[in-house]
Amino acid sequence: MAPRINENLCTLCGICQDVCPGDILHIDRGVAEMVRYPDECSYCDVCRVECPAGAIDIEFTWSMRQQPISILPGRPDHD
Amino acid sequence: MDGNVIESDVLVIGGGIAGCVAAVRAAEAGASVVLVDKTRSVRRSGDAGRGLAFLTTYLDLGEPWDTPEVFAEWYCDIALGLVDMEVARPLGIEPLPAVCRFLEESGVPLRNADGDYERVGRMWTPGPIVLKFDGADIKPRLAERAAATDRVRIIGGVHATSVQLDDTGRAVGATGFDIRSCEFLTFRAGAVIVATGNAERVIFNSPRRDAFHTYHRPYHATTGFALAARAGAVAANIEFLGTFLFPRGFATGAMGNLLEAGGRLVNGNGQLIADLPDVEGERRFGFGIVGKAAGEVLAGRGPVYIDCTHLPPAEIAAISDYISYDAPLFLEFLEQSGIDLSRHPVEFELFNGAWSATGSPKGVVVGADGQTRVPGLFAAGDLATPAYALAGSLASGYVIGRTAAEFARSAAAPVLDASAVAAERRRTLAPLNRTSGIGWREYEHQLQDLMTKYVGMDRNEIGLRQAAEYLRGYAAAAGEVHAGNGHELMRAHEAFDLRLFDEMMTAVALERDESRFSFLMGHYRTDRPGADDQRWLGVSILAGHDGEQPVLEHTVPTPSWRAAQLENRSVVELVGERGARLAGKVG
Repeated sequence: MAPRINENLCTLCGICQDVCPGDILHIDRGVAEMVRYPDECSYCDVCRVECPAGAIDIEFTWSMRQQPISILPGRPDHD
Repeated sequence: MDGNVIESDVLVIGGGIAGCVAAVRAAEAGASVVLVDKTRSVRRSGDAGRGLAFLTTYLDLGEPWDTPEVFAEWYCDIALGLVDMEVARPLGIEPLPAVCRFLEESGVPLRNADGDYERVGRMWTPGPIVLKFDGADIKPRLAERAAATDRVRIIGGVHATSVQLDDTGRAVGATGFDIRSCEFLTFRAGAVIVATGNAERVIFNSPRRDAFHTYHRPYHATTGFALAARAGAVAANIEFLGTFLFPRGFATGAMGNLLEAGGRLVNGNGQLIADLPDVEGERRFGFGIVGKAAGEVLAGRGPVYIDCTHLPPAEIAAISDYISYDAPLFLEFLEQSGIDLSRHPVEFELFNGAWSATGSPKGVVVGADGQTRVPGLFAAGDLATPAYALAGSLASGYVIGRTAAEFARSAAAPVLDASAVAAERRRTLAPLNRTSGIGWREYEHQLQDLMTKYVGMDRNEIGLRQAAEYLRGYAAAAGEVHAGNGHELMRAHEAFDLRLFDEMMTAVALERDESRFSFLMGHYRTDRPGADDQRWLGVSILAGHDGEQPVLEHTVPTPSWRAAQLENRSVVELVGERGARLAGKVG
């Protein structure tokens, strides 16, 4: 998903689409269609930092996220 | 001329660190400046948009390791001697004290609350020359300064497609289009500075084969190289790739942060590969650690992890302080992954890229004034040869803003070639006239697939020749690429620029019939696995493009550096097991 826009907080001010270096965000069709090119997001975090309403979260896609591994590699030694 | 022409003394293409500094400096020298960027706002555009925490620079405060001379020696060594120090000194090294003052004047604090510089060492620096500073807002401060400077006009949302030449071959402007409206734009200027960052999206950086999954911003693609090459400039050392270690799934700079906090690099068998030695009471990492990880993976002992589970809770908690601006989303990434640093190691994987990094000598070739071989065309920042990371971008922008303004002032009034502009307009907008054919993503993916397979980390003559053949064919296929809107048109042109760069990169990788590594960049020919110092030590290959095919030439290395290196090869730190083995350093 990359940026996730909270429709209750977003004011459609347009700052996010101006600062997005990838032209991923477009406000012309409202909040629901704002993340127009999610596959091209590089997770730079700039939209979230600049959003004055705090309406943006960055959500890593399912396939990007790691699984916590349940079996620890053996304790490293210093030999 | 079709439509309005946007006029200035100096046109700056690219509003990152170098572009913003160059715009300010040119305007302060009296020039009118137009700064264009494809991001609609330059406030946080470019690689440094989210912030930076380190500036590698000497300060000349009295220590023997803290001088411009030592800095220059170090820089030449880590660049494998593949950089013209007569250019690097005035453009990247000598301006650094002035650059530090420029930053502080711009509201970027370089000292801590006590008024002191906080400096750290790396294994590969001659001393603690890495200045740690609060650079979270370095880009907004520089962008604000550019916007507030008289005579600077910033135009966002413009993708540049060409540098325009007059009938004498001098750069006198550029063309581009609005990435939303598709309006074609023409710029006339006395001098043109291209500062569009380094090469991205050339090969799949990530094992995920996701072109936008990069460490630096993927959006500059190779546009600056293509703009320069089409105008007649050349690029150097573009055969070299960089290798980095990033968390699996998310390319972010967490490695150094976790290791400096006390994390240990372990392999898939749970064996310790490396932790950081204490040097003068602090942990310092070198990029040789990436080579060690690469060695484990290549030997079949991957995956590799950074394990912090042995650290006391207080040190785990303190890691969030280390993960400053290098890896702003890393903690969220861990949280969303369900990873607890006190209980789980974090998997890391190797990323290979064509981008530049500290010490990389790759880029568009410029002289000591920042000018390319094309009169009136300058290259600054990461795009230019002697620039290395933040310091190089600042320093080159600082110098070139001034030299470009001087060039524009002394040159004749610029005259655009109307027929050339009209032809470029047709080329630029052509993908919009097609409703079917090849989508930009398919076209770009095909390029990246080809480059990853044949011009990626492992190369040989047959594969490289095959890639060159394919790339020639892909030139014709570009005529079938369609775009439905301005965004797609931008991506289509990025892909066209990638193909041009790919042709040059493939040609130089074929030409360098040896293997060569530094601490973080390498060129590995499986058919020529050793370094051929007699022929290639300190020799750069320069690549241009004549419109039909790449055109190559060689440089002559600095004699004194070359002699010293042949005397004592140990000065160059080689990348890990593989690099050392290939270079004949170990059995």
